[in-house]
Amino acid sequence: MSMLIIQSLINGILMGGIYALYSAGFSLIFGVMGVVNIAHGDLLMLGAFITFWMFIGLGLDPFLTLPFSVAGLFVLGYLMQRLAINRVVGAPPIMSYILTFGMHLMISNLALVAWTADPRAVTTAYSGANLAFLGLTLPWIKLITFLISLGVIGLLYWLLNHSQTGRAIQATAQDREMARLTGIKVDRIYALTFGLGAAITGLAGSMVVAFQDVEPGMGLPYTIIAFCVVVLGGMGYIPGALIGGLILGIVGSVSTMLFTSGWSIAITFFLLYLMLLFRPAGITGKGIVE
Amino acid sequence: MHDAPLLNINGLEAFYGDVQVLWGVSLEVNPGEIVAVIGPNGAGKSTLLGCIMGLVKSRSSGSGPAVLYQGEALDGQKPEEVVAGGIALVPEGARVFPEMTCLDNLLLGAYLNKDRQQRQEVLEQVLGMFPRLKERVNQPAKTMSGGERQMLAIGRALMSRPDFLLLDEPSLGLHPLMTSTIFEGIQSINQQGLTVLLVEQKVTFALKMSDRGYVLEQGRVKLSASGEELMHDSYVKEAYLAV
Amino acid sequence: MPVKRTGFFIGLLVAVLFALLPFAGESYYIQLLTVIFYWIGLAACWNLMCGYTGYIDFGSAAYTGIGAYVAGIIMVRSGLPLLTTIPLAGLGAGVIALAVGWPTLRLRGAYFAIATFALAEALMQVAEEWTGLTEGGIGITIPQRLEEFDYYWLYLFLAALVVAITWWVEHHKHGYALKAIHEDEHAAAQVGINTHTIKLKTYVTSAFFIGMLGALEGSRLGYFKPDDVFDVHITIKMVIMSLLGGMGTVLGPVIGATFLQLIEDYLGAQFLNFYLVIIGAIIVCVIIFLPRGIVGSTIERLRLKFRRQP
Repeated sequence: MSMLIIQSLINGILMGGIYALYSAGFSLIFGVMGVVNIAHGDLLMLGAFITFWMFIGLGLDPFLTLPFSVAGLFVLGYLMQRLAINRVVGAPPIMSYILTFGMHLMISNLALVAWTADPRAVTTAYSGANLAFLGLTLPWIKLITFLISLGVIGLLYWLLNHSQTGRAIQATAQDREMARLTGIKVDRIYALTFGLGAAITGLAGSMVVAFQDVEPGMGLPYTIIAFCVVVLGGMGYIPGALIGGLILGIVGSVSTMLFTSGWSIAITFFLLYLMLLFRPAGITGKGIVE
Repeated sequence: MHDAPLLNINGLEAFYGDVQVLWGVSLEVNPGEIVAVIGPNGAGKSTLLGCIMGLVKSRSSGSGPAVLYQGEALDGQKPEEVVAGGIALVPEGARVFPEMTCLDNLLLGAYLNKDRQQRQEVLEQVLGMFPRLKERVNQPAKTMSGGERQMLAIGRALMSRPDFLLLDEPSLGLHPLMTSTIFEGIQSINQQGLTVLLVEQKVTFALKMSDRGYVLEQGRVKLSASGEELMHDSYVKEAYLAV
Repeated sequence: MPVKRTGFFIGLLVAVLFALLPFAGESYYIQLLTVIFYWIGLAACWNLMCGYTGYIDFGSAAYTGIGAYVAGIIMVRSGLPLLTTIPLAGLGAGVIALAVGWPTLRLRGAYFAIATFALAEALMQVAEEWTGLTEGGIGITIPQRLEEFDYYWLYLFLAALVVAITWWVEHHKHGYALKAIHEDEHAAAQVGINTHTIKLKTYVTSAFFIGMLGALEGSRLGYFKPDDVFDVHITIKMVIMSLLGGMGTVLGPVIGATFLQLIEDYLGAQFLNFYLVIIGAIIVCVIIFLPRGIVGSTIERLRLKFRRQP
């Protein structure tokens, strides 16, 4: 029985890496622009579909599709921000919720119309390959996606803290007017930030094909998970997304094993509620609180 | 010393929404000068600087542009464009980026300079000028004292190697000793060729180090003369230097 | 203020005219209007609380669900007539809103939105799992139902009532307090406004009506499961309708609900799958080009027009 729990834990951690990755994108967007991106999960879905179509259409190994997903979602995110979301950056938050919700409707339903609701699986010759370790089964693919997730989060963190662009992003988040007074083109930074957030989300989506089938409606649940992750880890705090993602991955995995899914969802949401009430800055205490 | 003025302001009018705050303000700053603008709270001093930096919409009461820098109109330019043109502002209250370290704040000041080596050189210079900052290099800016933050803000502005430096009440809320340090710093920068426009409430200090000064009251220029003359002017003495 | 009073009486007249319609009208339009009045009612409830205070509630569907289930369970268990259970449903929703609102209204902005959403979702799952009380996923069948025209009149009445209450709030102290909270809650508190009480009163009132509307709709559907009546898309429609029409205005939810429901009806018939894409596009366009909503933008434009002074 304990073996089952440990296996469940491992599965949770591996999934948690993905949660952490795209939630970091979500957190970044909120932290810098104050925008709650309800279409975030759909960006993940698009990344997954890019991988699927390149796999089926061009015979590319899924891992080789990652750069395309990153590039494609970066461009999409950049344009989304520049053309639409930029209009609501200074406005009351509700505007960004509704705008991104409208985008969610458009993206997910266009995908539905174009690609139908049929779930698509991405299976390669090595899909079933596992690393056997102390009686546990660690699927190679999931292990690799986990390492990539960690690596990219680390890269993001490094970029934000040790490059001029990263500093510019931070400055824009902390004092927009002053940022302009140091020569920073704030609109461009916003677009860049959104593009970055979208790119790592696309990456996460491409890697999610190792965990589940791809279908147009898969985005919204992931968006909701992102909410939970950033509330846990602290809004706008990137390392917090890692912590939140891992915790949520573990909790999700273990609780589905122990309870029925309905009660575990109810408990998760109720805990989320309590978290917001009593510790809005997240477990780490470093989240942005209004 | 008196080539064409570096900065030329002609009949500047500025508004906050529907409320007019500046009424036909004219002044000039020549290269290499330190010019002070003094006046009470609410006179429009910060707004004046805001107009130069493109933060506040401005227009001229006459024809032609309201703000001319090196002969070119600044009207309608965005702040990031003005900064790229060689003007830097040290805003009221320093406004350092609170969550970033002292070092990161300084490095950000040099954002427009892509040359790493040059950036490093200027950094050394700035840290040399304000040794206190060197000690605080890795501290988050929000943990620094008021005086240190002011130094940091000035240092940050200097990192962009501006030709023209605007300072908005650099002595605000500072201990007198700290104030002298700051002002000595400003003077030494000026001696190296940087033109300075200073908005201040600590009138004595401001006038002592300025070549010329303007008295701004209720959005209008009331007096304009050399620093010396203003210090001994009877109106200024009574209104601002009351003992 | 003569202009405002006139507005109220015009509204009253319109409502009365609509009430007379069933005696002349075609069944299809009565059906359509019934649905429209339902959504006007819901949107107006959302607008009453959120449009004025600026607090974004994403958990309103909790109260349609509570209303529907309270009415349904009472009817099934005790055989009380439908019309008696409606106010009881409203009461149930109000009481829960009181308990929920008390701690939750301390939160702001995004956190308030997420918190209300989380609670509503949790509640839905509880309804799913607590089969002893709600029959869970099996669903509950409502033993009583009213005539079509009855729903028409009840929804018209409730919608008109909530809009009237909104009108009253807009033009009296309560409304000023709400708007003050929107502008600057801290300052409002300092001026002596008891912000917590006012928010709570408004929140509970809104929930009370949402509960009654939910209960009526539950009986009109005849049979429902938790995810029908606790559906987050109900909340989302309420929010969008208020926003489209103009938050913080009396007529905003009326226009917004009518507009969106008509579009949904038309597009749903014509474009089936594609219609959500178009709704999404409309939402995006309105946010970008008419950020104050249809009514709000019009008011703004009129205000500017009549302000031409040298």
